[in-house]
Amino acid sequence: MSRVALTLFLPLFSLSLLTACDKTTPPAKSALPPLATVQAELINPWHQSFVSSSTQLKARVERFCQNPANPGEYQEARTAWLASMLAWQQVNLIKFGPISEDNQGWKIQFWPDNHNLVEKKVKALLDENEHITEEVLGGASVVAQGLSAVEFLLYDPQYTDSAALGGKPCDLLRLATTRVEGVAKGLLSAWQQGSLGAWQPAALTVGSEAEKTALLDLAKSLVTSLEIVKKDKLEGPIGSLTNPEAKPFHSESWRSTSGKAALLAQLKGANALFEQGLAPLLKSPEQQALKRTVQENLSTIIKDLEANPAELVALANTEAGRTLIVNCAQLLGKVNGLLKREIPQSLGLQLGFNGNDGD
Amino acid sequence: MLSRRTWLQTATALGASFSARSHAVGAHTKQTTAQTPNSGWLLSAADGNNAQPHLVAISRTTQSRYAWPLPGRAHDIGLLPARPEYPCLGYCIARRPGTWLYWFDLKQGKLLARIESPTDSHFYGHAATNTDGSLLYVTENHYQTSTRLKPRGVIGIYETKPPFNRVGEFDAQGLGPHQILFDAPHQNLIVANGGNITHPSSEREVLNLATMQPNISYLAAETGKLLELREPTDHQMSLRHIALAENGLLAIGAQDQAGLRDPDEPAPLVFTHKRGQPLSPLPANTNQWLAARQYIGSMAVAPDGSAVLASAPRGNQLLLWQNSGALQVFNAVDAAGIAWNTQAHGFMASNSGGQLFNLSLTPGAQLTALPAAAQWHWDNHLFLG
Repeated sequence: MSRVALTLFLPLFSLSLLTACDKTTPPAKSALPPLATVQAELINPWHQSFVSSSTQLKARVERFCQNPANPGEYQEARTAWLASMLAWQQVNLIKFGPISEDNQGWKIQFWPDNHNLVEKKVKALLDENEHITEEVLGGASVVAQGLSAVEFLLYDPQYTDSAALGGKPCDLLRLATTRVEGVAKGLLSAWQQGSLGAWQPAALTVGSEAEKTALLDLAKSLVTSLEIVKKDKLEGPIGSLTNPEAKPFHSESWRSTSGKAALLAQLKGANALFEQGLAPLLKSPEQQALKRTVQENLSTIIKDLEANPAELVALANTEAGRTLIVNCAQLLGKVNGLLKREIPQSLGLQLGFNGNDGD
Repeated sequence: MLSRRTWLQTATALGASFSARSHAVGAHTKQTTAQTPNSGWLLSAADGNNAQPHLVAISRTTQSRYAWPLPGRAHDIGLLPARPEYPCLGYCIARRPGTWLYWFDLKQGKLLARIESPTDSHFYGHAATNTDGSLLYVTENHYQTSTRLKPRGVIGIYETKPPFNRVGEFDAQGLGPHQILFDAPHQNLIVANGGNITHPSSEREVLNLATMQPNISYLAAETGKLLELREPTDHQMSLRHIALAENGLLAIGAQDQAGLRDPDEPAPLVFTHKRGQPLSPLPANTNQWLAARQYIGSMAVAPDGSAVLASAPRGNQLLLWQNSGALQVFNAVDAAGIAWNTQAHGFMASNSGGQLFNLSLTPGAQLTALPAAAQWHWDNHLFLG
C-alpha cells in the first residue's frame, strides 16, 4: 500500500473501530436541533469553563497572597486571571438568561471604563477601609468586585512590586476572586436548573415556539455582542473609524495587554454561535449567500488579527495598525448589518430596532 | 382602568380590524371611503414584515387606513390643523441623516409631494406646525463638505401648501436640533438641541463627544429670537425628545452619550422645565435609572401636566410619573412610541413587535396590551390625532 493510501485509510479505519466498539459515543451533532446543540455544546461548556477557571484563579490568588514576593506565584496568579477573563469572554456573549438579571455582567467585568472608574473605586475601597472584609466588599461598588478590579491589582504599573500587594490588596484579591467564582457558579447553576424560559433542551425542537423565542434570543445576543466588539473593542482604542487616533486607555484590558486575546475569544465564540445556531437554518441559495458573507468576513477578521502579533494598544499607536483595526471594524460592520437586517428578515425574525437603533 | 366597552372599541379600531385585513406592499391601501376627519388618527412609521419601512395611518373612528412604502425609516409624523383646503394634511420626515420629507393628505388618501432638504443639509427627523397650520418648522443639520466639525443647527421654515417651499430659517441656538414643538399660547418654538455633531460621511457617529453642549431653547416663532436657553448640568446628556403640557410644563428625555458611567451614580434621563426655572430631574432611584440603560426614546405628557411618560426601549420599559410622585415602571419590550390618548384619558404606546398598549392612569395605573397587529413593527414615535 502506498504511503498516501495508508494515510487516507487510517482515519477511516480508526473511525470504524470507534463506531463499532465504543458504546458511549455521543450522538452525532445532527441528532440535536440547532439550538439544543448550541446549549449543549456551547452555552453549558462555556459556563462550566468559566467556573473552573474562576476556581483556579481563586486558588492561585490564595497561593500568591501567602507569599506576595514570590515572582512565580505572582505570574501564576496573572496567568489564572487571563484564563478566567478569556472564559468570561465566551460567557459574556450570552446576553439572555441569568446573566441578564441584576447587571450580573458588571459583577465580573466593568468595561468600557473610559472614566477609569476601576482604579478610582478600588483605591477608594482600599483607602477608606481599615480592613477589607466580605461585608465591606459586598457593600462596595460592583466596579471593585470583579475581574476588572483583580486585573488592576495584578497588572497596574503602580503595583509592579508584587510584594506591595500584601495586606489589604491581597484581602481584596481573595474576596474579589471568591465573588467571581460565586457569580460563575450561580450562572452555571441557573442554566443547569433549566428555569430559563424558552431554553429548555427538550422544548427546543425544530419549528417549536420555544425554538423561535430562543432563536430570537440568540440573534439579538449576537448582534449586541458583535456591535460591542466593533464599537468598543475595535474602535475604542482608535476613537473613530473616520479619524482614528491612538486612545490606548480605551482598549479593553490594556493593563494586562490582553485586549486582542479577549476580542478574538469573543469573535471565535460569536462565530461558533453563528455556525451552530443560525447557519444550519440558512438553506436557500439567497440565505447561503448571506451565510457565506458572514463566514468569510468573520474568518478574515480573525485571520488578519491573528496574523499581526501586536496587541491592540500597540496597533492603535501605528498608522498600519490603525488601518488594520479600521478594516476589521468595517468588515464587522457588514456582518452586523446582515445579522441585524437581512438574515433575520430571511428567517422571519423581528429583532426590534427601537432599543438598538434608536434616535 | 379602561372600561371593557372602551377597551373593546379601541381594540377593534386599532388592533383586530387592522390585523385582519391584508396589506398590499408597494402601494398604499385604503379600506373604505368613509369621511376622514382631522382627528381620531393613529400615525407612525413602521416596518412591514418584509422590513420595508412604511408610513402607516389608521383611523380610530372609521375603517380608513393607509400604508405608504417609504425609501427609508421615517421618524416624526404629524397632522396639521385642519384648513378648508387641507382638512387632513400631514407630514412624514426621514430619520437622520435622511433628506426627504413627504406631504400626505388623509382626506384624499394620497401622498402629495416629496421635498428634499437644502444642499449640504439633512433633516433631523422632527417638525412642528404653527397655530393655523400655515408653516412647518423642521430641524435641520447644515454641514460643510470640507470640514465635518462646523455644522449649523437650523430650523427650516416651510410653507404647507404646494409646492411646499422653504421660505426661511432660524438658528436653532445649538447643534443637533432634534425634536421641536410649537407652544401655541406663547407663539414660541421649543427646540431640543441634542448638542451632537454628525456628518453624512460618518453616518450617525457623534463627532464631538468631548465638547457637546445640548440645550433646550425657546425661540420666538415669528422672529427666531432666543428667549431662554437651558443646559443640563452634564454636557453629555443629549436632550432629544420633548413634550409640552397645556400648563407650560415641558417634559424632556435624554440620551446619555457619556459611555458607561459609574453604576453607583447613574445620571437622570428625564427632566421637566418651566420657563424661568432650571431643568429639574424627575425622581427615580439608582436601579431605576440603570434599568433605562441611558436612553429615552420619546416623551409624552397629560395635557394638564399631571402625568409624564417616557419610553426607555433599551430597558424595555415605560416610565410613568404622576403628580410629581414616585416613578412607576411598566415592562414593554422595545416600546418607543408613546402619545397621550384623549379618548381613554391615558397614554398609548407602541413597540417594534407590532404591539399597541393602553396605559391607564390613577387610581391603579395599568398597562394593557391591545390585540397585536403583528404585520407592523412600530418605529420610534407615535402620533394620535
